[in-house]
Amino acid sequence: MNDAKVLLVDDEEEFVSALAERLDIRGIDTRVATDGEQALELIESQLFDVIVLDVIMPGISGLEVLQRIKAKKIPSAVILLTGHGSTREGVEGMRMGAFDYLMKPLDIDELIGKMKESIAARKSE
Amino acid sequence: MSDIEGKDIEFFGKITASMTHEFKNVLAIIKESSGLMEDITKIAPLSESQHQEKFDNALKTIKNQLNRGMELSTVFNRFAHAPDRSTAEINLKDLAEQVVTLSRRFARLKHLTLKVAPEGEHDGNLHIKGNPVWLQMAVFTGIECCLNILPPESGIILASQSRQGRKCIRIDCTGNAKDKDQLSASLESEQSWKDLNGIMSVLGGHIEWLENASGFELIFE
Repeated sequence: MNDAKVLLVDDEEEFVSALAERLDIRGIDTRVATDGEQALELIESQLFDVIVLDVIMPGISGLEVLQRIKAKKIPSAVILLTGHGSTREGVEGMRMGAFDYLMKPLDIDELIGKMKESIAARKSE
Repeated sequence: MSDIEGKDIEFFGKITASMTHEFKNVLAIIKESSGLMEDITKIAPLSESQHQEKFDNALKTIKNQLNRGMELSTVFNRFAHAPDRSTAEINLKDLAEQVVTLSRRFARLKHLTLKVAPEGEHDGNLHIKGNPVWLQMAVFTGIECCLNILPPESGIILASQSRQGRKCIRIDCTGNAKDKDQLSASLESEQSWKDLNGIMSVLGGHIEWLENASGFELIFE
């Protein structure tokens, strides 16, 4: 994971900042965005190996960001974060091409595991 | 009038679902922040070991309460989404677990234990179709009937069962529970028992006493 570039997208700034710090301590190069528009600007300016994307955000939703990523054929793996009791959005996101989804609150080791899986899957394509 | 029938429940569900989502976000922030504190002290332990131990214990308490909060939040969020649909297919064991978690505090206040039977005591993967709010209300009212009459240190155990092709939730009273004659007499004099019969009737089901009368079954189909 040390060579990987990760983008975290979530409108809860304190959540995404703390998570970014924790990934940084583990040697993972991490950027953050707190809304869909900011995320898309970053995605278009640099290539991320993994994008961790909250589904429900004000303005452009996570699923809409995912749709635009896929439309532009950007090869980054997308892992969705869903906080709802149901997993409908997560399943919908995978149908749209997300690698996987995780429920909030996260387990950081589980997140890192998923990120590694997604990178390995891309390399084997 | 029919256009706004059920709107009160829909409103209640919308607001509670939204609020539980907010609570989950709060817990997620606390989890990451306390995780960051843990990460930092692993890199740079506190200078005095007595403080390190207290710090570690405080972090452990935060983690334990976080796990508790997360479980409650998940269950409550699921409860809040119950009014989303008037009919849904529901796993009976999940239904029992959901309502037991929601009701545990009521049991604790009466010094009663309330739990779902272990995995092996449930009959397969049973599903029923019904109104999610009313189904949860039925199971809760069944539990409430027992809570109202059992002495302290008694227990209530729920299990999903199949009986001659009928799907049900079995509610067993254990421990210091009253003897079987007292149990049925006490329950049948309770208002909550009458309410339970009414709710089961609306759901198209009924109640049957267990053969040894240590409890009863909510028969749904």
